[in-house]
Amino acid sequence: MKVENYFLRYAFPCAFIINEMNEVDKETVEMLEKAAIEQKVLDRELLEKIFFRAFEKIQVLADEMGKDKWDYDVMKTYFRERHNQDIDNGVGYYKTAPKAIKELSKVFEAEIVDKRDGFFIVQYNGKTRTVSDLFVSNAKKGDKVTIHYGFAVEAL
Amino acid sequence: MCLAYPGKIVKIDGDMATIDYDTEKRSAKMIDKFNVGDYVIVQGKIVIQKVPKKDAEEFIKMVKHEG
Repeated sequence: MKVENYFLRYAFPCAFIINEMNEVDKETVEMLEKAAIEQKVLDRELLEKIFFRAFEKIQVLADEMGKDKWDYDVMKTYFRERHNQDIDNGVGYYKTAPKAIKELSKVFEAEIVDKRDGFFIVQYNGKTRTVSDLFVSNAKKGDKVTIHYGFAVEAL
Repeated sequence: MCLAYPGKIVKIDGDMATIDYDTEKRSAKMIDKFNVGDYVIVQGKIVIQKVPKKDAEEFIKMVKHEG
């Protein structure tokens, strides 16, 4: 998977929120969703412009790691570690976001306990959630995946 | 359409819910039991989670305020 796709898989659920903030239009949200599903590689500059909040933080992490912000390790560390820390620390918009939304925004490692038509039932930290199998449709019961909002994002 | 944003269930028909997002209405399949009036998050055309009313209203207000 190209790093642009990796970024978009994690980032695109937030597009709907920035649409509500009137920063992007509906057509852009639909374009982002389609690109995420079809694994289309989007222009880096465009992604950086739309998700400027995320990239401000990714840049800080990249500087700390001494790597480019589009480096795979940087992206992976951002979504698998730093993003949750930022939410816990109430950085930016997470300062006032309600608990239930913050929980959905975090990335967790979860185990698939049931597989049904189009979705998985997963468990993490003693909690159960329903997530779409769109990105990891080959995963089976017992497999571990990361979850973000309503999606299983990557198989572990 | 992925809706990482809470909407309110306004109608239930079998396992299908109609969810109101202020600017539009969309339908999604329910796996668990939900009620009319619940605020929920929908993704991949599935209602994935209920969001407490207070949290949902606070969040909607916060997002609209940012816009």
